[in-house]
Amino acid sequence: MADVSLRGVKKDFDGTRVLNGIDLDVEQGELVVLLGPSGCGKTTLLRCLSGLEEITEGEVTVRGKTVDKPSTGTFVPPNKRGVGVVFQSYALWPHMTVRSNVSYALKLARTPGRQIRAQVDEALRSLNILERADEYAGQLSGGQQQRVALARAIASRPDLMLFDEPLSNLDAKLRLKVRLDIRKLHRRSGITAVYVTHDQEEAMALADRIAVMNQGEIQQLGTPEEVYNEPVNAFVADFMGFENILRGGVTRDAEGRAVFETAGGDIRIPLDGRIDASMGMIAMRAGHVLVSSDAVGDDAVVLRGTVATCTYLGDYTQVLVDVGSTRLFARMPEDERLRRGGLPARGETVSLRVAIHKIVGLEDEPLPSETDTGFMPIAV
Amino acid sequence: MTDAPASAVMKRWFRNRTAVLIVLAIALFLFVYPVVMLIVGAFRNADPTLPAEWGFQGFAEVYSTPQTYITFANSAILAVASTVLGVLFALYMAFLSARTTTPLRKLITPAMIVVLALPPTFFAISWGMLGNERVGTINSLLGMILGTDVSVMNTNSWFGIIFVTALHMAAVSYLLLIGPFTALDRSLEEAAQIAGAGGIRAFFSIDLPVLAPTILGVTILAFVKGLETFDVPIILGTPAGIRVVATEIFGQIQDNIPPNYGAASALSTSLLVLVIVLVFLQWRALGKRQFVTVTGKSFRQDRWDLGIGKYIGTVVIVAYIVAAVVLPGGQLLYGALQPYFGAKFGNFTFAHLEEALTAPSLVDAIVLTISLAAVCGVLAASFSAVAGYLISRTRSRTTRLIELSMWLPWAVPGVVLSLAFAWAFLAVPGLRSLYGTPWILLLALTVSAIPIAMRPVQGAVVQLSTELEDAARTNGASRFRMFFGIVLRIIAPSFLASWLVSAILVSGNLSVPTLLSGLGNKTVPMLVYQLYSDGKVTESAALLLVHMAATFVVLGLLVLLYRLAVAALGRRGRARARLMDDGGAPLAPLAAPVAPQSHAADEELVGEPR
Repeated sequence: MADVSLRGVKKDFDGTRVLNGIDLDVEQGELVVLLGPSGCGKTTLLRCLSGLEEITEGEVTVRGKTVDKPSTGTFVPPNKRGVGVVFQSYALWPHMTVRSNVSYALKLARTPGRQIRAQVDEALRSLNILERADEYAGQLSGGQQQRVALARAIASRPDLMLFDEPLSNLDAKLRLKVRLDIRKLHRRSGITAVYVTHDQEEAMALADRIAVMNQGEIQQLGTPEEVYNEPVNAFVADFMGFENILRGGVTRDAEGRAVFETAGGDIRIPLDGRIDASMGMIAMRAGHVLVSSDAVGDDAVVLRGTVATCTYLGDYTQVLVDVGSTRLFARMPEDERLRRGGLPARGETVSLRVAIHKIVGLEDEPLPSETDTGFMPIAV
Repeated sequence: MTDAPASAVMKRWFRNRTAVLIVLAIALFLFVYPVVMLIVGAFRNADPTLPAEWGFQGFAEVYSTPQTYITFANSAILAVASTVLGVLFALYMAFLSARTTTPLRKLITPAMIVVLALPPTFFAISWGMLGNERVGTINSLLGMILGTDVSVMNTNSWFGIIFVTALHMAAVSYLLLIGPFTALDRSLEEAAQIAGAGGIRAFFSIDLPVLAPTILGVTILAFVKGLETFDVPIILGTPAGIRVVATEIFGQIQDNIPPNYGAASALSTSLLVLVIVLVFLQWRALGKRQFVTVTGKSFRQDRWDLGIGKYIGTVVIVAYIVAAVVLPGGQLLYGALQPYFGAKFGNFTFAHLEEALTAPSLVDAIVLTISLAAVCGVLAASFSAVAGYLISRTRSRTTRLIELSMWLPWAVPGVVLSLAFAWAFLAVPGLRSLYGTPWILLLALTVSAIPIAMRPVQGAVVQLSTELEDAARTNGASRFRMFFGIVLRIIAPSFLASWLVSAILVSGNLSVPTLLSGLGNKTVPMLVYQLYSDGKVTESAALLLVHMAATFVVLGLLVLLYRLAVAALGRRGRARARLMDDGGAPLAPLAAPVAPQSHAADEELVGEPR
């Protein structure tokens, strides 16, 4: 049986539905990341798990015990749930020392003094902040504060750890470091954990499984590999960084093989057996559309287009290529650039090698970028 | 650079510092010089116009009289009692308002703002009439009901002074507390709940300790205000023979012929030293504001349902509004319509109101007071804007000096400021002729308003991104033009708030004009006090009523004109609204002195990594 289980969870704020029927099982010792854009309900879901919010409908079970079920009036308040939460703003109590912050929960639980000391020391030591134990939280740097917040959440050995975008207030370098701390901490403690973030890379690095959320629903639940390589819909593909999402339809070529053709007929790509002939969209990562002069085998197809812009990024060059009226994001590997002796000029015709077996087929549906102007325009 | 001629170097030095030097000169003259003269005066044995010998005569005289110790003790009693009552009540109200579902909680903040905007003289006079031992309205009403003469209440007493002072103190403290109470990072409390603490426990073990520095700062501030208080004790305490330090200083000059300047100055200096020490302590407490953490992410604020307790809260809120607004307001109106104080019910006359609206001496006083209020407000807000800007943009010893000197009036009680200005102007032959004219009133009242005027304006300037200014400069605006064209325009709403608050406080100020107005230019609060103490109680009520109504109308009209002018600037108005969202900030009144920025800037804010 799953350690944490949500069944049909719905949550309304003043008549606005924020969570719309969430079903999720988290196994013992697993770390599930809730990933999604702001406003998708991921933080609300986390708060429902912690008991800081009451759900409107459905059921939340932790360790086989129902903690929130409106239909029976069951609700266990946050202070009785035995969870640990790491807040985005750290939420360290400024009038207490690091040690008092970390031992607060244990004191409230009337843990014997010696045991408190042992558990607190262990938590602080495992995060390398034992030597700052007697300082006030306000005297520490951001990264140290975040580690104290981690120690505080873990010290009471909760059944469930919840992380609310804990890295979003740190700079890029510290973020990597604390991310590793969290990963180590989780692996060592084996505590079931739910982690909220909007950062795809952070989610991939930490998660056993990722739940991609949008508009109060889980769009896809799967391992990082699954979510990254096999998005189930256009939203997930877009959110997981598929730069090229094309709309069109599947037709047959002269030999009767399935071919995907874009709406304008600019692009024709033969499909392998994985893709259902009813799909109205395909998605490709720029990394699988290479500017290349190599000969191709059966696993790839060559498209020809003209260069719109080149952006040199070190490991590779990002090239925007117009194939007919469709603009594709492509990459030029470094060895190709060296072989050519430089970047292609604007307007120059290049060959694109598209890896067929990396193409993802999707149901046709509106993209977030088509309703929200905040995204980069993608080729459709 | 070394071979540049000396004159060029000097020119350069002055070009960058002209503004700072001018502001510094004004600040030293207005804020520091009078206090220095007051202290000098305490060590002279004659009045400021006469040649005198130096000595400790004033102090010797004051400290050899037992009355002095009694007045200090009285001040201490009043300060402690009104602080304890006022701050505790303010905490309770702030809690109800910010954190509970108590019905009518939304009335608390408006009521407190109203109480703060009304002059203390109003509360003192109204409660003096309500609670008069023999003919007070409350006693008379009870007498009518019971059919016999009763005296359940006497506000010309310790009870009255403390009660009325605490009513006002509660409003001041509440408005200082409500911001931090509301802004408190709720995730601190949530973290405590997660750790296993219930709601009440989280409130007492997390919220209150986190707010402790703010509460301590507000308490010290209230205590200082209690020590300085003048209006209430002079009106309610004088009939009862209760004298506090501020009224004693006034009495040394008013009741003695010739006035005893030496004793008054010695008392003032003692009070000043005491208050400066306390204000310094308050700076230390409020300066370390790192406890109040505000984060970007605010989740839903769940309010507590206190059960039966919330109805108790409602009763308390209503009781406060009745005691602080309804009863005194009704009494003032009723008093203004009575032919004489203590007249039978049903006896009404418009004679006193008519007199207040027509008698030249009274009309002149109203016009003078409101003009002073409007002009002092402009001066205080403008000076605060310029000085606040210079302070926030150039950090040097000079600007630090300006900042410190601007806070000095905060520590100077009104009567003491009055005496200090008297010394400062009487002692210098040229300035002497200004004594007794409206001009000296204008300067002294402006000075008294500066610490309050500074708060909104300085806050706005600090928030203003320097990039906006840099953009103006690189687009070709001169410094001068940049300040008036960009900075002043953007901070306009705060400037208005600053002006309004100063004007309201000036118009009700009784203590500053006491020793400065001449016979022909008494301000309304002074006349009201004089009429009241001469027994012309209903006349004073009528005058105060007319004055308050006139102030309300005139200031309201000026605000409206200003709004129209801003609206006429159309696009700019909208652009500003987008740039700065400080609509909630105006009327953040009677601000506590925030410690000079450098204090605060040294502290790292918890949970504020941006």
